[in-house]
Amino acid sequence: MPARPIRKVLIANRGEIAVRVLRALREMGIRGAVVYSDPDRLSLPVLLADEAYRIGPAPSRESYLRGDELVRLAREIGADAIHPGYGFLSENEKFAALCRDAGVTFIGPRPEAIAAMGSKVECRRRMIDAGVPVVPGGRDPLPDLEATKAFARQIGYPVMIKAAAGGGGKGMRMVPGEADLAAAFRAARSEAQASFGDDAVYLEKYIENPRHVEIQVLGDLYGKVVSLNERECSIQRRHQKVIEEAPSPVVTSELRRRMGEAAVRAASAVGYSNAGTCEFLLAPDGEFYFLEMNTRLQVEHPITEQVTGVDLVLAQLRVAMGEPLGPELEGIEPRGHAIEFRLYAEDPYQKFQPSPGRIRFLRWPQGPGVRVDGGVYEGGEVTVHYDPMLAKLIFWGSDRAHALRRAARGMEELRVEGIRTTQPLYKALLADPDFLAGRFDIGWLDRRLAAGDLRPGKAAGSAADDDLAVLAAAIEHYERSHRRAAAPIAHGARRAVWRATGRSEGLRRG
Amino acid sequence: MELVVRIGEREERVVVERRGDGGHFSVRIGSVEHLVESAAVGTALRSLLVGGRQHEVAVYADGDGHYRVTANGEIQSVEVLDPLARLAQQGAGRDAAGGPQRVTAYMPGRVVSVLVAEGDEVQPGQGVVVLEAMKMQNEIQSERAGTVGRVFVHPGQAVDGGDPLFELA
Repeated sequence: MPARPIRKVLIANRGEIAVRVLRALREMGIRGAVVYSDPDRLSLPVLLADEAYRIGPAPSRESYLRGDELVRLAREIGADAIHPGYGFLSENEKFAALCRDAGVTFIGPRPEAIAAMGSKVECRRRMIDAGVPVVPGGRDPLPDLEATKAFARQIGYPVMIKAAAGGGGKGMRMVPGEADLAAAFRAARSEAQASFGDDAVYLEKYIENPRHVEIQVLGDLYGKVVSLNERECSIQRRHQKVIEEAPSPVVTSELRRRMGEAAVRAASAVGYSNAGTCEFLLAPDGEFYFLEMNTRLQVEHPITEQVTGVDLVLAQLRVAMGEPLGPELEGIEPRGHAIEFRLYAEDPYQKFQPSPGRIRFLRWPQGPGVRVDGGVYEGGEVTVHYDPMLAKLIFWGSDRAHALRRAARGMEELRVEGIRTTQPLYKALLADPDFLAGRFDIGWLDRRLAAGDLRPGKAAGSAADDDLAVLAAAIEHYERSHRRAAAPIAHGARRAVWRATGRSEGLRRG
Repeated sequence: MELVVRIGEREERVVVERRGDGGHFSVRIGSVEHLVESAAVGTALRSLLVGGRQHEVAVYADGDGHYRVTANGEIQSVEVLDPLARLAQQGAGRDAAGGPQRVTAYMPGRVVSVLVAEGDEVQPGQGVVVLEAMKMQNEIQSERAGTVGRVFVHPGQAVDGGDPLFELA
C-alpha cells in the first residue's frame, strides 16, 4: 500500500503532454482530469480525459498559468495530485508550494529544490560544492590585465571575456590565446563601460562547438537518486531542441557513467526527488560541464523510456505516492537506439512561420519501432495560441543506423494535410551525411539552415516532380470543369479569367 | 480537354482525356503521354498511379485555375488555363514590361480580322485582332493605351503557337 495513495490527478497542462500523462493514469487505474482554455474545448486531451474543466480564455496567464485556480479546482473535484507536465507551471516553486500548502501532491520535486536549481548564482555555488563540473571561470570582476592573464592560464584557452553588468553579447570577447588577451581585455572593458557604464569584466572558459548532452535522473522521497543515462540534444534551432536521441552517438559507457554520477551528485545536492534532467555541454575533448537542471519531465523523455524500458510518468506517479526506487533502476545500460523528432506546425522553408489551421488529413507512421506521442487529430484545429508542437515521432531500432532507417521510413508514411509542418526538413536531415554520421554540435542546424541547406530531397524544379504536380493539377482541373458542366447553373462567384471575350459569345460554331 | 499549365518558369500544353468510366486518364504534357489512374483519398488527398507508380498528392484549388500541389513534402504552385484564356492574357498585356510588347498567338489558329493599322492609337479594351481558335472567335484587346507598332498578320492567315500577332508600344 503506497504511503500516499493517488486516486485522481488533475493535469495542469494541454496538448501532447496532457495526453501522455492521461495514458499513464489510465494504465494505473487513476482517474484523469484536465483543464482546458476556450480554444482547447475540443482538444485531444479533453476528448480522452475522464473529466474536463474550463479554466479560462485563450491567453495562458488567464488559463493554464492560473495556479491558485488550479489548486482550488483540484480540491473541489477531489484530485489528490496535480501533474504539471512541462512548461507552464512545471518549474514554478510558488505553484509547487501552493499545492503542498493545500494538501495536494505536486508531481515533481519539492519547491525548495526547484528554487535552488532556478537561481543561477545559488545553483552554480551548490554544484561547485558538490563537485559537479561547471564551465570554468568566475563571476568575480578581474582587477587588471595581470590578474586576467593568470586566471586565463589557470582555466586554459580559449577563454571568453564577459562584461559583469552585461547581456546581449555586448562586451563579450572570445580570446583564442594569450597573444590576443591584452587587446581583448581592453576592448571588452571599454565596450562594457560604454554599454553599461561599468567596465568590470570576468573570464569564462570558452567551449568550442559543444554538444548538448543531458542526463535523466529519478529521485525518490528518501534521498535515493538514480541516473537513467543520457540524451543527445544537439540538433537545435535557436536554442530550441528539434531532434533528440539516446544514447548519444559520442558517449562511451565510461563517459556515461561519469556524467551519470555527476548528475546524481547535482540532484542530491538540492535534495531532488521525482524526474529531472541535468543538462551538460560536452566539449569535443570529452570534458563536460553542467549547464542547468530542468526540474520537471522533459519533452524528450520518451527516448529514454524506449532505451531503458522505464515508464517515466509511471515512475513519477509511484515516487509521488511514496514508493521507494527499486534496485532494478540502477545501472541500466541503454538497449538499442531511439530518436525523437518534434513535429511542429511550422513552415521550415518560410522562416519557421507558424502554420495554424484545420488538419484535413492525418496519417501517423506506424509499425515496428514507431511511437507517436501526439496531441492532435484529423479534423482538429491547430490554433495560434500555444506552442506549435503537434506530436513527437519516436523511432526505435537495434542500433542508431536501424533507428534512422525506421525514421526515414516513418517520415514517408507520415502525412499531414491542411497545415504545414517540419516534416520536409526531417526528410532532408535523414538524407544528410553529417546528420546520419552523428557529426554535429549545438550550432550545426542553425549553420546549415543559414546556408540554405536541407531543402526538400529532390531538387525543387526537377522535371519529374514538376510533371507530377502538372498531372495532379490538370486532372483536378478537368474534374472540376466537368463537375461544373454537369451542374445546372454555375454560380456567379467564379471570377472571369477572360479579358478578351468580346466576340466569343454567340459566335461559337458547330 | 486542352489546357495550358504553368509551373515556375515552365509552361506546357497539356491535353487531358478521360479513358473509360473510372479514374483513368491520358494526360499529354507537351509530346509525352502519361497514363494515369486517379482516385480520391478522403477529401484532401489523391492517389495517382502514373504508369503503375504510386504518388500521393494533395491538390488545393485557390480559384481561377490556381492550384497548390503537395507531393513528396514539397508544395508547388501550378496555374491551369484554358488555351483561350492564355491567349487572352497575352492580348491583355499581362506580359507588359515597358518597351514595345510583342503579343503572340499561344495556340494555332486562324486570323479572322485585324481591327487596327500600324500607328493607330488604341484605348484600353479596344479590339486589335480577332483570332479563331478551338472553334471560337476571340478578340485580342489592348489592356492599356498605346500605339500599335508592327502588325504581323493579315485576315485569313493561319498562325502557329508562338507566332507574333502585333506589337504595342
